[in-house]
Amino acid sequence: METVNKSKYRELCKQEASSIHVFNQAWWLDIVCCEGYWDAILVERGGVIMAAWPLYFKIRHGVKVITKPKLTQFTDIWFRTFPGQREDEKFFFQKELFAEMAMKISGFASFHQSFNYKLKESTFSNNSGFQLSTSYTYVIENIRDIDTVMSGFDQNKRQQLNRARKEQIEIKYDLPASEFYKFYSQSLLKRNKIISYSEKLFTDLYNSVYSNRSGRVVYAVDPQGNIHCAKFLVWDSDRAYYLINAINPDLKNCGAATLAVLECIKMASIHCNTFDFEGSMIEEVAESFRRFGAIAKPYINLSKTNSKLLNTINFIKEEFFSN
Amino acid sequence: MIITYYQDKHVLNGEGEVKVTSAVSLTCKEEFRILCKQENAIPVFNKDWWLDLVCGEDNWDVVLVEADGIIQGAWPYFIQRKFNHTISKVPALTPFMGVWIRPSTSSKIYKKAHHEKHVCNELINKLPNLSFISQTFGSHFTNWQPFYWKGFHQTVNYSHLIDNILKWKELKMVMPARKQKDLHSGGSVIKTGLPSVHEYQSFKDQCKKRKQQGLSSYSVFNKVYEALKKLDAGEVICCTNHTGSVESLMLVVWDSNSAYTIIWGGKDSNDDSIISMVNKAVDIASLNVNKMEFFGKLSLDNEKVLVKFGANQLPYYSIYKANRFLYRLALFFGFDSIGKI
Repeated sequence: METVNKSKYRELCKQEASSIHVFNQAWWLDIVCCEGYWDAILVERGGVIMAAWPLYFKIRHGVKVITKPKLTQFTDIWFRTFPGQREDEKFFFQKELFAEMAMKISGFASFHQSFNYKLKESTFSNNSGFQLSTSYTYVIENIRDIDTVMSGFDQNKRQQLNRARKEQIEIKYDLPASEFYKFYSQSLLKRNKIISYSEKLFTDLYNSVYSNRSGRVVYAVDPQGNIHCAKFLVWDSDRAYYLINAINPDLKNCGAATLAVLECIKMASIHCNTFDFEGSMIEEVAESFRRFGAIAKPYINLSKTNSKLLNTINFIKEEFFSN
Repeated sequence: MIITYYQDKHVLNGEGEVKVTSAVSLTCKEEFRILCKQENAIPVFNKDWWLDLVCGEDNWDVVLVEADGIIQGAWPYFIQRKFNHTISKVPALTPFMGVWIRPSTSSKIYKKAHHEKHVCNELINKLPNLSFISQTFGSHFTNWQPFYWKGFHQTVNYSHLIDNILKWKELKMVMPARKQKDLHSGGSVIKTGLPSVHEYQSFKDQCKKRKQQGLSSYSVFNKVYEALKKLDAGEVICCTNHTGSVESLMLVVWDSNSAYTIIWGGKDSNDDSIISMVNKAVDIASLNVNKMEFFGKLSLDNEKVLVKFGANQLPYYSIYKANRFLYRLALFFGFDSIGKI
C-alpha cells in the first residue's frame, strides 16, 4: 500500500540519504515491515518537508498497534536543519514539529517506539500524551583510534583475545545468508530459544544491506573449520550497528567472539567513527559490552496504550506470568 | 548497625599510657549524619538537616554501603505509614533525592560503571520491605539500569540548568525589557521573604487546583525558611498581584555545588514575572555558586527565554517500585503515586 506520504518519504530518502539512518531508509523498512505495513508522518511548510517520522503498523491480538519492526533498534525522526540556525531555535523548532507529528498519530490501540540516542530527550514533551522512559545502548566512540579503543578493553577481554590467538581462530567474511541463518538458529536452539524472524526476511535484508553497501558479515572459525560465532554488522555515515550476534554456546570460551567484535570495530572505522552495540538492557549483555570500554547512552522510549483490553492483558501478563 | 572503632589513650594503674580500642555502635542514620558533615558533594536535598525538616526527624532513614570502613554509597528515604503499609515517596519541597555514590578511584570506564552498579545493587538489597517506593533522582544521576534490573520502573522529567550564572547575568541585560522588570509590572510585585500564613495557604489551594504538587504545610515551609536563612543556604521569592495574593512562588536553595530553584505557580502562559523572579534568584544565588537548576512547570514562552539565554534542558528520573499487589493495581488504574514536582 503506497500512500502519498510514503512516496514523499521515499523521495526524501533519496535526496537526504546521508542524513537518514540506515534503519529508517525506505529500502530497510520495505523489508523489515513485512508482517504489517509502514507509512510516514510528515510535517511540511510550503511544500517542503520539515520533519519525517516513519512508523510501522501491524495487527496484534486483533487490534492495530504501532511498534518497532524486527531487527530495527530505533526509529529516527528526521528534522530539516538550516545553516545559521541557533541551537535554541533548532531545539524549539524540533519540539514544535514533534508535537505536531504526535497529534497526527491516531487510530492505534498501542504505541511503542524507541529513538536514536542522539535525539535530545527534551525534544519529547511530557505533554504529548505519551509515556516517556529511558533505556540504554552501549557505544564506543572515536573508533578510528583503534589503539585507544583496545586500551579500554578490560583484562577479561584481553585474555579472550589471547586465547583466540592461541586457538588459531581465523576471521572470515561474507558467510552466505542461508548459512548464517542456519548457524544462528542452531545456536539459539542450544539455548532453548527460537529465532524470531523468517529466513526470507533475513535473506532479503542481507541481500539489500550488501547491495546498498551498508554492512557485512564477519565470522570466526577454528582450524577444523567450525564456526564459533558470526556477526552481522550494518552501518551508515553516523555509526555502525552490531545488528546480530550469533555465538555457538559450545564454543564460547575460545575468545572467538571478542576477536570478531574487534574485527567488526576495525571494519566499522572505515565507514564511521562510532560503534553501537545496540543495547542492552539485559544485565549480562550490558556487562559484556561495558568490558569493551563501551559507555551507556540513554535513549527515549515513547509508549501509549489506548486499548483498555490490551492494557489489561499486559498487566495480567506482567503480574502473573513474568519471572 | 555499624561498628566504628576508635582508639583512646588511658593511663592504666598509674603506669603510663595505654592504647585502648573501643567499639561504638552507630546506627546508619548516625553514620550518615557524620558523612553529611564530611562530604560537600552530597546534594543539599540528601543532607540530614534537610530531611529532618521536610520529613521530620523520625520519618526518614538511610541505607549505607561500606567497603574497608569507608561509606561508598548512601540512600536516604522518607518513611510514611498508610493503612498498615510502609511506603516511601518524595517529601514536600524536595525536587530530588536519590542515591549518593562515592566516585570510583579508577580511571577505567568499565571499573567506574562496575563500582556504581555494585553500590546501587547493595543499596537496593538493603532497603526494607516497603510496599511502595518512589523517588526522583537528580539530573547528575544518568544510569538507572541497576534499578531496572531489580524490578523498578522509570519516567522522565525535565529541569533547566544555567551552568554559568555570571554569563547569564551579563546576557540578562539584552533580554526584552518586559522580561527584565523587577518592580511593578501590571500591578505585580516581586519580593523576597516568607509570605503570610493566609497568602501561602491560598496559593497552595490554587496550586492544588492546577495539580502542581510539592508544597508542604506552612509550618514546615516556615521551618525550612528559617533554617535556610540561618545557614545562609536559601531564600524565598514571591510574586504578588495588586490584591496582595501570591501568584508565583520560588524556593531557592543552594549548596557548595549549585543552586536549585523550585517554581510553583505562574498565573497564565505569558507570565512575565517568572523570568523576573529567575533573575532575582540568579542575583541572590550568584553570591554563593555559579550554577542554578530550575524545577517546576514553565510556560513555553518562559522556557524559550531560559534556553535562548543559555539554560540547558536536562532530564531527571522518577524511579518507582510497587512491591505489593494493591499498589501495582492502583498504578494500573492510573493513580499517579509518583509525586514529582
